[in-house]
Amino acid sequence: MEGINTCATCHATLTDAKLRGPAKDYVTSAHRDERIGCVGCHKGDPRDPTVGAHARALGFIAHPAQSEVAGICGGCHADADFIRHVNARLPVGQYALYSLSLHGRLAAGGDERAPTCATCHGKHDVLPPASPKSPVNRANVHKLCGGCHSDAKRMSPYQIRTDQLSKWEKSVHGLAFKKGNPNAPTCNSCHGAHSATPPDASSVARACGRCHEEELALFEQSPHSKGFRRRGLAECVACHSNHDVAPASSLHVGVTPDAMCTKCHANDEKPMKVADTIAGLLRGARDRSAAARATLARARDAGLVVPGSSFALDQLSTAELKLRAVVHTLDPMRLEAPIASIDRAVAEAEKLVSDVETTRKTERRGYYVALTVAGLLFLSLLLKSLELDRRRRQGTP
Amino acid sequence: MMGTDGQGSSWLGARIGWDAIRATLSAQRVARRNFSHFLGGITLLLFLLEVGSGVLVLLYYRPDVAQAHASLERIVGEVPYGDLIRNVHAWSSDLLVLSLVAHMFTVVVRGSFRSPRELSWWSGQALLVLCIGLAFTGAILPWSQEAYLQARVGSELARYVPFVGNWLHHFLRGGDEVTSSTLQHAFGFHVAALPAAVTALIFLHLFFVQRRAATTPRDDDAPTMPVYPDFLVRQAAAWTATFVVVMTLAIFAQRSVGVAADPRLPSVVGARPPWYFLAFHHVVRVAPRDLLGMDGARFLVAAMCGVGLAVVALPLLDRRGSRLTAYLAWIFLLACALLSAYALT
Amino acid sequence: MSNDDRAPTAPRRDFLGMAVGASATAVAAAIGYPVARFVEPRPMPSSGPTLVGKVEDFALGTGKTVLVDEKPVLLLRSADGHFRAFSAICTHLQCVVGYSAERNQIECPCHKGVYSVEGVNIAGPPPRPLEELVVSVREGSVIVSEA
Repeated sequence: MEGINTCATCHATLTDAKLRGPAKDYVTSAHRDERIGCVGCHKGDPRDPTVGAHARALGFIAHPAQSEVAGICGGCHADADFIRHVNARLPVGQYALYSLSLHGRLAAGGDERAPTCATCHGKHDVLPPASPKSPVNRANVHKLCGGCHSDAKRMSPYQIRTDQLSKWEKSVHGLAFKKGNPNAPTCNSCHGAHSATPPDASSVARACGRCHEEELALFEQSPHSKGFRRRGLAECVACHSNHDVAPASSLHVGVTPDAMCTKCHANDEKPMKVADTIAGLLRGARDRSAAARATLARARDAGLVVPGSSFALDQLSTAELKLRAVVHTLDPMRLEAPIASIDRAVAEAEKLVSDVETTRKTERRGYYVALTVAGLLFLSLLLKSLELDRRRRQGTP
Repeated sequence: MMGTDGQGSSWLGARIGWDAIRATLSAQRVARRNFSHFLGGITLLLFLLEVGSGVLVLLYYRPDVAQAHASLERIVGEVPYGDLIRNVHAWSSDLLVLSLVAHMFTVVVRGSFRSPRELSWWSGQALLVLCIGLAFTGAILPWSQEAYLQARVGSELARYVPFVGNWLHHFLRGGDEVTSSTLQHAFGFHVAALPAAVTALIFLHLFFVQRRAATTPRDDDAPTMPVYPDFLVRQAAAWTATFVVVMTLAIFAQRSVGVAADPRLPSVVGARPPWYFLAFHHVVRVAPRDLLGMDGARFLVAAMCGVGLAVVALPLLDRRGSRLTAYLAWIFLLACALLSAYALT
Repeated sequence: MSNDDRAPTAPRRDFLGMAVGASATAVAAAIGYPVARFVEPRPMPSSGPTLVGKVEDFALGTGKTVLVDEKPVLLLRSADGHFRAFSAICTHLQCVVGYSAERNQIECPCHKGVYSVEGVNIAGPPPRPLEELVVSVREGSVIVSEA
């Protein structure tokens, strides 16, 4: 049976594009391996060059139904023994995960609109996810998910929002992704792929904490951690939102009406006092480091070479990151250490610049001194030559 | 300033025979002329400034691709007065080429190259070539993006020089490619071989000039003055003025050290050669790809070599120092100025 | 004709000659000062604690000379595995000292100076003990830092 695939040879000669297309797509797909062939999914007899190959008795399936697809793919992809022989690098758990996912459960329940394997991976032209052309490639996956989830009509029976993609694109995650940051999360980074299930209030911190480990650990030491759980609030999302997560620096910790804290604590005296303290500390640190950055930038624009400036800037950024993480504890006392290291970095940067500027000023002063004495020398030489001329005119030959 | 009063001999004067030196210098007479007369001396001062500042920069500079640029940044940023000394070195080098070219130009216009002063002319030409070599090798040493590009393009154009092009290309790069050995090679020539050769040639040049004082054919009856003290006092004033110009540029027009060279980065946008190659750069840029059946760049380099040879042979081509040569020199200068101005737009 | 400027000195001329001399001296000083400051050697920035190797690079009961801030440092490892580090520069005339395993002491080959393995000068001309440095071992790495 191996090596003989009369399906493809015959279908490639057919004039009906619907029948010829699959044979063409197949030869460049991940499944072109002869051990899979057309029969791997469609069954039938690939050795029979006649219409008899399509006999029902051979189990031939022309158009697998939506609900059948996952089973067909899983027939091989969940078969560890088979996969190991064909391509040992492939995982085998996708079918099991998919069956548990919301997508899988809807499809199993007979929902024709629920996605199955082919919806995302492609049919005859299925490509490995590493291929840039694959719709599930990291570069394309947001377009794939958004293709359905941004479609209001398609989503209307499920009564879910359709703005996730557009929100993500403007979020700090989406912007980093657009810039090509290889660590920036896209849809499946939080939602999973085969196991696609929206994180709920109790699990959202696990999703965020996969990357934001330190923030999560610090958050769990805060009074919010317990309080949120008791009230069923989605931990990180309560302040940061989800798809449209904004840069941390633009979040308002404070007591102004637009501040995040005011949303829940407007009438609580003690939390507002803490918020005010933290906001004041953050504002001070932010202003001081912005001033230090501006000083370094001004020096650079003025053409000064400031030795050690890039190291000082790195120190500053590191200290700021640390401070932002510690904010999650909501404990003003714990902000002191990172603020102290910010202040050290700021002082260091400013000292570097002022050293260079002092040197520059000394040099300028020295220049004017040198200019004066050189001017005097020039003048006396000029007078000397005039004197020589005058004496020569007065008689001496 | 010593012994200008001439009353007897000082302690030192008695020991070096100052009276005899003074008598010789006073007996030598040069024409009373305008500013152009001091250009040779100004060039000499600029060369001495280059040697002085170069020796100083050498204390901290490291000729190694990994460290060259960082060591320059350290000189400019950390060592006291390092920025001043580095900028004196960079600006004097430009002014040196400028005053050399101006010196040569006035000699051509006045016809002072004519027989019997061929040797002064030729030694001067050799000095010009060596100083451009110094400028080229010196521009490589910062090992910044610009320096890397200049090493690459400059040596590539040298490939088109007729007959010796391939050898010159290989020689300038210190190998087939622009690598760490290009830097090493340029460093060696810049700090040792070339300055030594220039110093020797300066003595030779002064000797030739001295033996056949460079008066012009057209003002043989012009008033003269003794070399000492009249001429030297004026020359000293010109030196002081030059010093002030260099110092002012070094303080108020500091030269960028650029960013460290990284051959993986794309070349700098709108990179330009040093100013004295701007005119040629512009011609190469606008010239058609083919000229008289030759590759455009190859043709132009060959043509420039031809002009260079004609300039060297000037005392043989024009034995009397005719006015025609002077007019041609003016036209050439104006054309170069115009082309350079275009190149900057 | 060559002596034409040997005229009697006028006070004005004297003054000019002096002015030229004085301002030339001042210009020389204006050049000399930055040059002198530039030439003055710069302090070597200390690179802080230096990783000198892995614990297993140093056999028990031996001494090895390593470089810390470009200066030689003698790192001794006792038979029971403890590390001690001394500046390997003899306090007598700055020769580089070495460890002698057979006599279990630190010796300076230049003038036969001897130090104990505690760095104390015990024989010969050295006037002071060797300067000791701090050794710390972290995750199998040996780190030497200035005291």
